[in-house]
Amino acid sequence: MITSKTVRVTIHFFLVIFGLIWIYPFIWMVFSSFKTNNELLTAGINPIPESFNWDNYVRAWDSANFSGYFVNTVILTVSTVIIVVFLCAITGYALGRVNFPGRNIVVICIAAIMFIPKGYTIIPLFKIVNQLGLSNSMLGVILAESSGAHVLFILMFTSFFAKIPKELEEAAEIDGAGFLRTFTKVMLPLSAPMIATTAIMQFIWTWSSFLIPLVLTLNKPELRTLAVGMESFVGNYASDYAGMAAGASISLVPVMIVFIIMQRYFIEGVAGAVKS
Amino acid sequence: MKTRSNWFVFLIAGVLMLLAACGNDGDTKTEGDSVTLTMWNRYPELNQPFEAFIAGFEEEHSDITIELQNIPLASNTAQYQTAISENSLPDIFTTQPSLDELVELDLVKDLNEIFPEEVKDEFFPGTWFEGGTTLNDNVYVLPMFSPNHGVNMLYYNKNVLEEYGIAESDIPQTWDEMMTVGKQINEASNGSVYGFMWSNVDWANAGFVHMMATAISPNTPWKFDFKEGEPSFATEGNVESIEFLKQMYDEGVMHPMSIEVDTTKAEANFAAGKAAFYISGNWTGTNLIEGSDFEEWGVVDLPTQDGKPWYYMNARQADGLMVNNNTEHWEEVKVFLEYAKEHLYSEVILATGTTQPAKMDVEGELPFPQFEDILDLMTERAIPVPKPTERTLEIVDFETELFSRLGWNDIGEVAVGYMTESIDDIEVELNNLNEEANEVFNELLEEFSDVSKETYQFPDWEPFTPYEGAE
Amino acid sequence: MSTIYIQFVLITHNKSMESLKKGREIVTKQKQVTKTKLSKRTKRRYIWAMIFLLPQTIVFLGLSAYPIIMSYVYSFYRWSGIGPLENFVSFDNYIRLFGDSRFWNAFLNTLYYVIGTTVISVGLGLILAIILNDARLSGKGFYRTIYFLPVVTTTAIIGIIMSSIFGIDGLVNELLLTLKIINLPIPWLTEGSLALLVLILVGSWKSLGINMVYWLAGLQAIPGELYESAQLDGAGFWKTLQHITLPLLKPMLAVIVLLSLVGGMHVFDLVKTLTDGGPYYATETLDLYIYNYAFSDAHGGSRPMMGYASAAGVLLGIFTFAISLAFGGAGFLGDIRRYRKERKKRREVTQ
Repeated sequence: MITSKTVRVTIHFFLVIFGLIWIYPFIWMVFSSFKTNNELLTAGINPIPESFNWDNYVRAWDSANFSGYFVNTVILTVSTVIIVVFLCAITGYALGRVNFPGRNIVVICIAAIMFIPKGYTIIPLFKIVNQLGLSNSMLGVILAESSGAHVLFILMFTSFFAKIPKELEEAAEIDGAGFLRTFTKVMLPLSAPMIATTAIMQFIWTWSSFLIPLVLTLNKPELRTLAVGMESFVGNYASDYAGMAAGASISLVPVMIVFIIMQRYFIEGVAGAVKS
Repeated sequence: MKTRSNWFVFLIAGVLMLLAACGNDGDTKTEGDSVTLTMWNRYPELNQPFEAFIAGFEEEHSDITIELQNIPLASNTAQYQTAISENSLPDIFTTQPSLDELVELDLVKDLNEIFPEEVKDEFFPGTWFEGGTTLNDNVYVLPMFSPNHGVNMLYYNKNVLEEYGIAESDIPQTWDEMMTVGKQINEASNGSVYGFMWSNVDWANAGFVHMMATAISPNTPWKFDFKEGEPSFATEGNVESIEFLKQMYDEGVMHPMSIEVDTTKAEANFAAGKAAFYISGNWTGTNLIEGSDFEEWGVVDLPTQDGKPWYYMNARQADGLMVNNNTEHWEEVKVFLEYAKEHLYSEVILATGTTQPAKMDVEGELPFPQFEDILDLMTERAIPVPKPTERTLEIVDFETELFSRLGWNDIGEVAVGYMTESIDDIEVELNNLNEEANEVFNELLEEFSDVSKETYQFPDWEPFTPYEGAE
Repeated sequence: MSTIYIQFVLITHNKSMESLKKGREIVTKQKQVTKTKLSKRTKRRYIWAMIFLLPQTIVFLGLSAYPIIMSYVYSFYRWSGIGPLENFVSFDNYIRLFGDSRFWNAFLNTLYYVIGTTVISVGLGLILAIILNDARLSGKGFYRTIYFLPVVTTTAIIGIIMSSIFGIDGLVNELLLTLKIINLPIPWLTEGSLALLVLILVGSWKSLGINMVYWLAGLQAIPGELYESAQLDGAGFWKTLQHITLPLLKPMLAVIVLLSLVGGMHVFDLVKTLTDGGPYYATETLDLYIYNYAFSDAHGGSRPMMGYASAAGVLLGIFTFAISLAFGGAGFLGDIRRYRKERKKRREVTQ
């Protein structure tokens, strides 16, 4: 669509300028993470630190235990993503490909869940996880994070699987594949864009989730996540903003990488779901 | 395709194994002969000293391990709530939820055997009060902070004073002097340096206003008028104090960034020489030294309207350690508390320099020289005032209910609202709030049989005279 | 990001209606032909479907439905979140909420925020997506990443970052002063309506990326042949945009707007860190209002009012539902109508 060279250069020009404004806060954040807290608070608008020191990173990584939180967050996020993808894929497959009696009611119910007003749910959730004997364990946090209806993802998988031509399934059956095998060997690999979309969205959610990991790790601080750990920089009468900037920079990197790697599939996935 | 789905199955299997592994690491609390006690600390500034203190304790008592957990400030209420609702409080925890509720739920252990009368006398007057550290005369809290904690004072930046030729004897002791000195500095620096640095934090504003106001309306130490026996938010003192804040802001005495920054940023900029004076509580000294690496400061008493004396209502809250009533290791906890009684005040509280230890005459090195002045000002300005809770414990519930129903706790945000012109007339707004408070107050009087207006009236009390509670 | 679901509801709804019809046809056919029971294969498939549905159902009922139902129960009690539920007050909490001007103030603020961010971030998102969808533009991935970054930033740090930008001595004021556009710094964060404006701007900044991705997805769903034939017809960029791109994106618009509305209704951590509802409640949103009651600091002298907060949560849910219904209902009905029309056409063609 964009043809002339001048137009393209102009577009790049605006994209860069606008983009700079857009990421200025990040530049500020990353630069600030090299400042002392005092410098950060008194430097006014000058974003460049007087000298680049890694103290904040050392402090965040060691004393604030971000190294441990980092590992926890990765375990929690990756496990949650896999569980959610798995749950949504099989649910979507059952709904999309099997025309069992009452299926439409189920689909409508799932859609309706989205609109249910949610009140204050953290205490009952904690009670259940506790009764399962899973509070203060990573498994409990993972389970709680994987709960929820995932309406969006399920419906996405449903519509995707429903679209796959029947012949493909029949061919697999002729080859002797059963229901399960058809699903794992033929259908699931086809749904890679859906998997990518679900994975990336769930990744972003869980990565920054705060209240659930906090409450469910009450007695096990070593199980805390980065988002929870961020709070330890805020004090009664004094806050360590430079440490926080370092912590935020640390926790931003993995999400960025995931987005850069998966963004193509991500957009494709959403597009695929929309296309029908 | 085949490899891909294998990969998927493999991943799931991996996660399941991982989960199984995570699920297994259950509670292995006792290893051999050593007992592990869990402890929660919600005071971030005490994290480091607590760690050192615990190391010292563990060295002396090798059979006891203390597992310290620092609670993020922003979420400590949620965390305590959940723990209480599921009865999973740690063995020892810093005070947070209201004492009466914990006692009612049978979740907190009485510490009477740790604190016999003669030991209780070693603490500052006002340390032991109903609903705070004691309930029905049973001790439930090992008090850490002195009841004098919270006194505001005037901090000054020596470098700024020197640069603009202000002698330490010229440090303002009245509001008018503050205005004059502030304008003088602002003019001399061509508007780059201000007289006064402030923050827009609600509790800081509320503290400022209530403390300043005692010089003008002494019958109201904080929220209640103890002569009339009713909530009293629209006192002359409150109005005048808020007007003073606004006047400083409008006339270029207060640094303009004040109304949008928190105390951390305000302190850093005060230390960086952007203003000559700063008012805050007794914990500020250690922040200036530790946070801003700034030593060239001094501290004096607050300036008041016309230099009239003021006072601070002591024992506003209890800060200390509580013990879980369901602890399985009461004997070990006792050992820890006995140790804490001897060492905590010097090694944790005094050494940090944030506040006065609850125990009097604690020996120990002061972390910085100005701390001496801070301690003196605390002892001087904080005095015991009447406590309706001494008359009936129902007051605790009554007041909690009052402020819960009101939906606002104090008038700090009103001060900010007036300075930023979200409120046009401070007197009208305070009167409205006061009316609302009195309405709910009177409603509740009907519901609480033990509480009446008389419960809040103390005719024998003389403001500025330490109240002994004799009737 | 409680996002794109409406579209999927629509899609699956249409799909299910279609398959329902098909199913009925099959059933009638079967009835006509044999009147036998379900075939063995179908039966097996039903069983498998049940097995596949089971895990999600268990997880949902146990870990989602129960807590939600409990939160409804709380809203009828006076309860501090601690101790047993004993003080049943029926609709008291709701009645008090309706009489609380601060609640309605928070409601209005939320509404302004929702409308503001939706207009800005959905609109800008579309422009950006159209530019970044061009196949010949180099560095697309780079730009997309840049604009997506705010979506994934930890909100805790945004407060301090933004105060360095919008503060009295922040970047914006400094720029405006240097350019001599203003003589006195503007109190962006401390003047009620300005603070709300800044909140909307920052909210839009944070949500633009995700809306851009949705638009990109919508754009990629448009068949390439359409553009090719448009090019053959000699249509320029604007013509193509006007006659092909925008009309085809219309259904997507309803979805994205709806999602943005629903997401905006629940804005919380951004407000908490940026203005904390100040000055004097000028930027307090409903979620923050709920939080302030649910987790009010015990040292402030008041206790958490979990019942009251739950009631406010239920009301917030109802408002969100109402708004979704108002905006989405129209689109939903329109879509069904359009779908039916198309199907009719298709059937006529095949017949």
